[in-house]
Amino acid sequence: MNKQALAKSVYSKFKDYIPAAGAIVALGLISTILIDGFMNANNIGAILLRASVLAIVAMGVTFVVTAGDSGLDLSTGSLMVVGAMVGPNLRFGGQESLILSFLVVMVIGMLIGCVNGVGIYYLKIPALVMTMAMNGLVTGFCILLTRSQLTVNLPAKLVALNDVVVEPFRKMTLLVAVVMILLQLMLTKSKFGQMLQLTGNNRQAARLNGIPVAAIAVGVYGISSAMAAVGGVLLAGYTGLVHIDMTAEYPMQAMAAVIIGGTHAAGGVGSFVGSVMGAIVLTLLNSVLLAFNMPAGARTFIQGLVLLGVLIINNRSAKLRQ
Amino acid sequence: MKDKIKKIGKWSSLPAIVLLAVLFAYNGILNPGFFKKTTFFTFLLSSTPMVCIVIGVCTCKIVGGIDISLGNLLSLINVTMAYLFSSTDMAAPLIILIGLLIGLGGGLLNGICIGVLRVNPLLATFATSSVYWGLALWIMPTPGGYGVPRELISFVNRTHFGILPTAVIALAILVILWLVYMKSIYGISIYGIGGNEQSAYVSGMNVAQGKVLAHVFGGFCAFVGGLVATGLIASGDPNIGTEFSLKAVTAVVIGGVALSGGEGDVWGALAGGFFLSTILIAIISSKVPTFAQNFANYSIMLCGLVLAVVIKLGAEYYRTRAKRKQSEEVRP
Repeated sequence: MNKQALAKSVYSKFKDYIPAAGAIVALGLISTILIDGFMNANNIGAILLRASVLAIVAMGVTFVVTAGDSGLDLSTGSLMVVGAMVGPNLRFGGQESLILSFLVVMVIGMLIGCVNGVGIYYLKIPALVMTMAMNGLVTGFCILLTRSQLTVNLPAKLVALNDVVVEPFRKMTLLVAVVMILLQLMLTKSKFGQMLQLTGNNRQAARLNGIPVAAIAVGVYGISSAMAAVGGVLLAGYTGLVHIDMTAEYPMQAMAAVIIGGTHAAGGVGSFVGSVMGAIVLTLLNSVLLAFNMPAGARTFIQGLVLLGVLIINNRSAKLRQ
Repeated sequence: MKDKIKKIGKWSSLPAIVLLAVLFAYNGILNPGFFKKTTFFTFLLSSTPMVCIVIGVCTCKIVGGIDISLGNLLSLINVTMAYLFSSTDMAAPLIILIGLLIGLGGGLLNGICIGVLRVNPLLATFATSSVYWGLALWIMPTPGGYGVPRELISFVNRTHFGILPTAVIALAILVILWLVYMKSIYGISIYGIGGNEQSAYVSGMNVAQGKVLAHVFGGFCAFVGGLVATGLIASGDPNIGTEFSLKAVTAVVIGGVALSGGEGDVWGALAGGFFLSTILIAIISSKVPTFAQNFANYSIMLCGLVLAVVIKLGAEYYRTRAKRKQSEEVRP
């Protein structure tokens, strides 16, 4: 009896990760067998590096989705542009400082994100529409400020994040891994994590239990935008350049990563580890398809099918007949 | 008379219509040429594809779901038809039929995932939008397909019977279909399903069928929009509909269709759709510099949204206050 109960509890804990883990294994096998020279440390390192940027953004969005009420954030693309524009150009007393740059960019992101949160929670503007409008607004503001002429002066420390620490892990990848571990611990062990999940599960009950639902509901959008802004800084460091369009795919891909990673769209159950896994799945899928010389359209098509498949397996509501 | 005024005041579409009227007036004052027949008809025609999508999204929202894939479905229809016109010898009616089948098929896919498989509508159509967009990009990576027959182009661009532009005909077809559908037994159930799904099911409504039909209708709207778009740009562009989906959702919210479903009608959606397409014209007429236009566009969109939502919240507040007053009067 005890063994059965143990097995069941382990299964229920990990079943949300099955699609993402399965996809990673499947893609890994396909690429090793069918593609020459795919499975080498350099290639894997590059894939993980690209996935790191998406992972940071996806982890931010995870906060929003976990907090419930069909939360989502499509404004992450524009926040990344803000981060990429501002972060690398910051100098403090003439010195570069990665930590301070990240902090400044996070504060800016948080302020913008809270506008989203206020519109969604207090004005009851649907999240889809509010974040999409803000995305356009912030992007338009960036165009306004820079007249589309973006110059960037990358600090050496930022570029150094691309360096290898231990094959295939680069500094940026390890940074993101540390963030993931910290966030996952926060979610499962800390009081804030519990409050976040309860808010997502049942807002009314959370309120009655004394949880500051308003602060959480607004704050998660701030956090999401803050992390997207950091993601933008990392993206600038990775690609070496900044322009307005370069983050166009990220909002959708971050949402997809969160869903593939097992976070429930209705909220209440979330996982940062899952979102990182989802980011890896998407980046790996893209690389595998690229290695097969599939054109951009075919890659988008297959990614859509994969997401649809995961949704059909994982994200179905209860039957009406009960 | 007072009751009639009250009834109109409660009409969910009213804020959108007022916003549209204000913007039209503003545009007309700044740019008197706006209301000249040719300019206005061109404006109507260029807005038609997006407004078709708005009608589709409105229907899906009323049933309690949403559909953000219709814009990309429109792109797919446009690209497929342009490709077939240019690269094959297929007869035009057959190509148009294929476009119709793609629209209905896409709507059916959405409807099955949402109505039968019970996937979250936002996520399902989010996934299918990638599917349609990917297909469109695969078929035609860059705009092309310049073989659209002259007959189609002139049909779309001219006015019929001297006064009716094709835009109005296309939209009228959709609106009439919508009205007929909504008065029918299938349509009435849509409001019920959108309002409270559990109650609707228990009352014997076929929830799955209602949802599937709503999304198939959305696909049909995408077909009409795609046909008009193909005649408009006389080519295929895989990105022509990309912005439409999310803009249509904004238009529908401004139009008073609640996100939760079960209320609203097509007139508000129409008004919301035209409001959005007029914003850019108003911005250009106001001589806003190019680099600031994007920012101004989304600012006004956001203002429209906030206004519509605030008006709605205000109306609800007055309604509950009136109800409370009524019940207080009954109890001495």
